[in-house]
Amino acid sequence: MKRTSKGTWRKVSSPSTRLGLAVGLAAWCLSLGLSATARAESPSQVVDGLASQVVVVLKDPKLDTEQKRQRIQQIAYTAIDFVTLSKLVLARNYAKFSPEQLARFQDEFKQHLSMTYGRNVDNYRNEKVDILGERTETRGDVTVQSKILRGGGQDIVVDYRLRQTDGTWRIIDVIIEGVSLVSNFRSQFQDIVAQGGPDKLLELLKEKNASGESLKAPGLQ
Amino acid sequence: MSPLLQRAVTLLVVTVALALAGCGAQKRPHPDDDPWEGMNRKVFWLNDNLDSYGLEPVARGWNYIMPNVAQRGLSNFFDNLRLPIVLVNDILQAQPRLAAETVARFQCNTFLGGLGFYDLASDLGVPPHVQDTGLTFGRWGIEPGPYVMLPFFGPSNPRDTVGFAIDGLLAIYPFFINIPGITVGASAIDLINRRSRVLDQVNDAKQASIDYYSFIRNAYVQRRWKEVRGQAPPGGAEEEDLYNEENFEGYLEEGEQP
Repeated sequence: MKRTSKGTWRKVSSPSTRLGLAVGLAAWCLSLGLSATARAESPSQVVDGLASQVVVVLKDPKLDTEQKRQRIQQIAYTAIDFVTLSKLVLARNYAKFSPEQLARFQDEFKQHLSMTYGRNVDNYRNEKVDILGERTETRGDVTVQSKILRGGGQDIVVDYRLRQTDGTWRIIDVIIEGVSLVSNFRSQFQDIVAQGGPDKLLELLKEKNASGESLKAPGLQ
Repeated sequence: MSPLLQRAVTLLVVTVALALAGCGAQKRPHPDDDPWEGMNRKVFWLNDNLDSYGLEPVARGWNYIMPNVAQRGLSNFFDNLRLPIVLVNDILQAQPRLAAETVARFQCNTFLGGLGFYDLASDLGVPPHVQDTGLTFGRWGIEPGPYVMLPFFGPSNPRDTVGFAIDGLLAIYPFFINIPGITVGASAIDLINRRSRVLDQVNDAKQASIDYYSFIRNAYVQRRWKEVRGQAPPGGAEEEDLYNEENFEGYLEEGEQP
């Protein structure tokens, strides 16, 4: 049996912040002489950039919880391809959504993600992100492998799957310890849309987001 | 027959039967495959209520009175007692290196790490590895079968349920400390302590999910597959399906209107 999906592993040097900076500088120099496309970041650089930007925000003692959450949201929104992500998550239910419902879904889904993953901004304990390498997948996607190093606790393996659109690599899935976010949300949403249609899903997401707002409110005072 | 011998014979019979059953390559299980969903959801509801009104409040109290370092120490201690489960499965999977690591970890943590309360081996560069009998079956090529929600014990499947039962037979305290009071007491402390260490994570999971049942099922199926496959890259037609957006454009089931 031939396994077509077996990708090649490319090694990326470990303390990659410095490397990323060096490559970034080189690319910038090049771009002065060459076209603007020479500045395009590689998938590993996108993930590394995302991680280091987020760590800077988390470490900043001058920012309060809400400011941190907003900064991280902005960083995440540029790195994640929400159009593709929404498509992959809705899968065979995608065609049931009208353009207006789809826009609403993307809004609510974004908010849901930023709320659930932005809740822990105050629990940062000097975790570090290490980029381990990248793997080329079928369809030209690239998976960037990384590890969150937690002093004392067990490390967490996180893979990012990226797809290139218009010359830019953006994240279309995050796989935490083997659990793909796209697959997980797809499982949750499938039955809801099958039984209650797009409106039911939108309603549930809205409800969830509203209850989340009230959950986080006490912490802000 | 002595209870010890009986246990060994049961183990041998089940192992051989399963080894014979598991031939051929495995398919990646689909995380939405759930023929027993109706029953599973009821059991899930029961478990969730037992947790919310029984275990979780106790674990919250435990978390309040116990210092963090004591909680970590206790879970190290109980992890260390998993030695026979981990070692037997390392051997059944023909992994001499892992088996050696397991023995080294046990000796190091028991004798130098204060009876296992301190995980010194991890500091010295030998971290623990996930290991159980269900994994061994999986690595032998036995398919998991349909998803099943066990009362009290949580998500599983027929393969992992048998594995879990064998883990119980292999556990250290029935062998060496065969006093029911101590075994039950120790298990209760282990359970409460473990729960107390994931209070926030469970809350986050509930908050992060629209359908908590599907969330858990999907995460369990994906996670077990990853553990069975080890470091091997995922792949196959299912993966292709997961990321091929063109599959979905204009996809309508028969008789449906957009």
